[in-house]
Amino acid sequence: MSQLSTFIGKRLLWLTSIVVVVTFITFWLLNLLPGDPCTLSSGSGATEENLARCRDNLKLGSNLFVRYFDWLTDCLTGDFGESYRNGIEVSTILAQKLPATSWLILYTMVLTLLISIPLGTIAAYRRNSWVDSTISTTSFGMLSIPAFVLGSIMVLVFSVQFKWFPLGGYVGPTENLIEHWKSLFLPALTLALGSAPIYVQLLRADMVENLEENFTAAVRAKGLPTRKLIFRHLLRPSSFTLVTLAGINAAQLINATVVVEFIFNVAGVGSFLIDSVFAQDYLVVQTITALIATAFVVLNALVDAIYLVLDPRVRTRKLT
Amino acid sequence: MPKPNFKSKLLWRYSVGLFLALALVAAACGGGDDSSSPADTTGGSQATSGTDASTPGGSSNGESSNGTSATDASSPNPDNQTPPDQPETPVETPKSNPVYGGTLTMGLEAETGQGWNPATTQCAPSCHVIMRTVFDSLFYEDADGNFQPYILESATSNDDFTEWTFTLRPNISFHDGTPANSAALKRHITEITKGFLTGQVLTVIADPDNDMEIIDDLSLLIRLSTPVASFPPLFSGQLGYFAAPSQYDSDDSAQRPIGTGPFKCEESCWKVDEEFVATRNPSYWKQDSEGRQLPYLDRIIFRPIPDSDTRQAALSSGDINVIHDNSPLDAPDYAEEFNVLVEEQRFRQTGYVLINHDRSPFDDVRARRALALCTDQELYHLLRGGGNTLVANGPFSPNTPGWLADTGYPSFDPDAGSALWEEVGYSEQISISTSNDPFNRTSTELLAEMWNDCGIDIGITQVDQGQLITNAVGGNFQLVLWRNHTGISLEIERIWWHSDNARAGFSVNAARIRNPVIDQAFEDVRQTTDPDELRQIAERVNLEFAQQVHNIWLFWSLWQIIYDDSVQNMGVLHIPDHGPALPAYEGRINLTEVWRE
Amino acid sequence: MKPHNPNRIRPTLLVGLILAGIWLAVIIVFAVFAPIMGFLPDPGRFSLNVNQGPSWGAWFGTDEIGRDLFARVVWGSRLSLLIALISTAFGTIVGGFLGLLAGYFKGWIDDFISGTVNIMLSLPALIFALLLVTILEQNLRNVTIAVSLLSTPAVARIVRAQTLRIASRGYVEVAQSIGATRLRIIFREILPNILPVVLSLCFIAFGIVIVAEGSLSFIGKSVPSPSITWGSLLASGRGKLEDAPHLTIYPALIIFLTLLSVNYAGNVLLNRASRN
Repeated sequence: MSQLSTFIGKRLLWLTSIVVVVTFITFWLLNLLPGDPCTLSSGSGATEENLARCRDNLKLGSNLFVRYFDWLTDCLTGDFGESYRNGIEVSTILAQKLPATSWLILYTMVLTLLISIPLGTIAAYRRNSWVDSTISTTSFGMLSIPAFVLGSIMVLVFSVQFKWFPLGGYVGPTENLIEHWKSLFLPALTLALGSAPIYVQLLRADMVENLEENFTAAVRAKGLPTRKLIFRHLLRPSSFTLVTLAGINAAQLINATVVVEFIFNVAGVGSFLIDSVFAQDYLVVQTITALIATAFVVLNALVDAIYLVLDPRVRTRKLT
Repeated sequence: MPKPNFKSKLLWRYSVGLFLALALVAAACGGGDDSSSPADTTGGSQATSGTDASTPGGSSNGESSNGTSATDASSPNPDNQTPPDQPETPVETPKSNPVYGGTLTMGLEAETGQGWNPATTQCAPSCHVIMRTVFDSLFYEDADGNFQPYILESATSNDDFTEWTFTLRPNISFHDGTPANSAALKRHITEITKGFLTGQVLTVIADPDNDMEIIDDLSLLIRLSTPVASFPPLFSGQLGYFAAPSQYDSDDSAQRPIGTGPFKCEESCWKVDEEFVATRNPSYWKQDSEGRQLPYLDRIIFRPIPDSDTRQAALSSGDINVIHDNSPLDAPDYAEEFNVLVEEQRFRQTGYVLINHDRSPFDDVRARRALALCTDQELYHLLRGGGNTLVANGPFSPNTPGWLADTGYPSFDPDAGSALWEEVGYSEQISISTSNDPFNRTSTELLAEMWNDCGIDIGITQVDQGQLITNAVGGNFQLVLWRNHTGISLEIERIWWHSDNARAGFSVNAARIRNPVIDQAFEDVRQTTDPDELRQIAERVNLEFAQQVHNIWLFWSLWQIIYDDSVQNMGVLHIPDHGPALPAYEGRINLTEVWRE
Repeated sequence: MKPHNPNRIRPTLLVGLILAGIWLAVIIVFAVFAPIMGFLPDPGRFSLNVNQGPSWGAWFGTDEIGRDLFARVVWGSRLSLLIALISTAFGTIVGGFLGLLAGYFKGWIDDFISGTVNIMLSLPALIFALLLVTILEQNLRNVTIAVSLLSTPAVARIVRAQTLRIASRGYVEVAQSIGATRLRIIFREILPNILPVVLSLCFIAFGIVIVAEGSLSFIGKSVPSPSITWGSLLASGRGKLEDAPHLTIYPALIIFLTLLSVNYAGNVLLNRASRN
């Protein structure tokens, strides 16, 4: 057991250092952006005195490391700072924007799995048949349409033409559950149709390989029913790839939400982040990026943990 | 209810076609070859930022869809030269008695990231719309473009315009119950003089503490360091939004506006990038002409929807009731599907190419003239405005004092332009800057192509919107697509054109125009209120601009307010003891008297 | 599962393969020789024929300022394919190599590589690309770099997972126990086994890169004006879906057919290779 606790201890140390490095990189990158927030915020009204005062306030003069350290300690004590544009607390903004984006990502993951697992399995099981090629072709079709095109088509067809789904903005689940789903269904579907093809392709490749391995043939020879074969000998080993992919995909979905939030008028973190990048609202971008990074690092740790559960061989290796 | 949208059916067919095409891998079909494919297109909205007016030619939002021109299917009509026949002021008299209650939802083209403190924000049209619900302005433009006191009862000056007395209407309170009195007004103007940009407009109040004197509870005397005959116009826009001292005292001054307006901002009414909820102010000081209490609506929800396609789609789907837009390309389309309040011919913003006079070769008037000679304004107007507005020959649109049918601005003559460019003998590449906005990018590409035809070697520099403004005020550009200047009052244009504001570093006069004739005109403007004299001064400015080719004029922009059938009284505002206000001006709109069926 | 003759490609597959080959050849020929194709209109040339559907004069129709869409798609293919090829190659080779090292050697090498990969993956890629392009200046080179960095860590991560799995299999352990060199094990035992996944990943990456460039275009952060990419054509056509759908349909179709051909040809050849 002590072996296990050292392992966990090491992991935690590792996680912390990654979070520190990632937040620092973000901090440093934002610092390199051309222009500075003071000139941008004052726009055409900038005067030298005003600028000097503003730069002073933001401590733009002091050392990068000092500023990073200040910011990190503030964050750790729960003070995320405020937007320099309008003085709103970053924590307030996050409280407003995070739910929409989190739900959107969650629904996207669910829809993606719902679409890709059956399709990937069928494609692999009936590989090289017309079913397989139809699935591949369609999924490539989806892959080659960017989210902003697919989203625009969906808006015009389902919101403007049929008026099935509103464009009136995000509705919280506690306000009205049905409206909540309606407000996020199209964006989630757009994102899911964008990521499902990747899942389908990888799942298929993985499963085909498993199918062609000897042990599957042996299992089949034993006369196992098809369904059992699929679940026990295809899905389970492939869940390995699926978990890895889901881990990566979760963080990258944030990117796609940016585009989709714009098109579907969902006020979430993604579009706000881009807005802040363009306005060079340092603190907001830093805090949000740091938060996403931290969330992802934790998620990765979970994925690693799931590896241990899924494949005992990795467990023994990792622990020794 | 919006009428059936036949274009969506077209789209539906196309999108089915698209999916089929993709599924079948059939390269044919796909539907593009429908020859009835409509003419036209895209509109771009050009957002504004910078106080009140100055802006890069365009904005954060992309192009827009929509745009079937009902009449000509293939190309914009080149004969469309005469001013389009627009209804003067499509203000309808309400069909029936106004209905109280209800919520109006309006889609705006941008969020106002800096918030709602009149002294610190930068008001673009989308900001003005919200500000006008929460605040009352000291002055509003009347239907003739004159500035009438609104929350002020009167504004009078001494004979040489150096002392102004502003008197407020009695018995008005701010939303928090504090009195809107002369002390509050003094505080407001003091804050304004300290503001980043607003302070540069109000340099005539040298020492706010001592130059403003409270005469009585409602009257404030303002002493100016120099005569300013057109003082009221300065208080019609951002500077005029009368905010409570309690707002200025608050830490949340940018987040929670406290005014005297028809609607108020309740606790956390603003969710940045999401919505601004304006709630009815039951004790508003105004009644309508029948003596009924204003406003009628219970609530107005403003949603920033920067993507103009999404904004239009939300209106079409019935999720919002009103949008504003400034893409002339979309005009015919809107007119077909919705109710549209089109701004009047006059006082329109001017679209142009801003030239940095401090950078070679454009310190030379010949280089500027060559550029003008090489610009096919007519074609630009057809391709980027769909022929739905007017080719500009100066900063004053028709019916605006100062407008001239012929200003002497160089008309398109590529041969002469090319020859003149040769004469200037500048061999390096010229750079024109653009923001990332697709509409502006295409416009810039079009201009670059025209100039290339003339033998001018031109490259495009693409930067973010915020950076574009920074570069412009910092003088870090040669040419950039811009939009500004309504000509409604020369006093307002002073900060953009006077040589006092042209500096090497940060300069509000971004073109760095230093022209003694123009400077003199601004001095003359400060001495008179006589309309004829003012018109003559404006004409002088106009001619001088054309003569010196200080800007490359393109077309006068067109703002439209588009709304569904449930919305009544759009744009109607009565100025007490006077008459109707200008219904729509630079995308600014008053929602005070709006009601819904 | 029907038994296949390993030395023959089924006729239907062959037809597909030939079609895919022809399509890719056409695309490449147009992309490479666009500058010297006299009949191709100038992609920047405006005219009053705006938003026209396809015709003999303009095969794919015209855009909002009357520019020839066919010419623009052809010129767009030059940059799109260039960006896609470079960044896919970079992502696959660098990412694959790192993943292999990490998965096989484990220990501190794995810790180091996985750490770096994790850091890269935890930065939201589009934001990261956007920051990078903003900081480094918006041009072709930097857009390519930004897009390359998007696929690299993902490939590394998946390859590492695959390698871990393969390396823990019996035959690799057997090979180790009989004293095979590490290099031999990597190249003879592991690489061939993970190659199918890597290559199919590579084809997917090719598609993702083309689409990712489109997303960058959508937020205005891809190659600057007046350069044309397929993504930028889609980004500007999207606003006119209702009235001028050809502006979206043709670029979308071309992208689709190209990605399909790459994937199809790739997979057929791959299947054949893995059978031999």
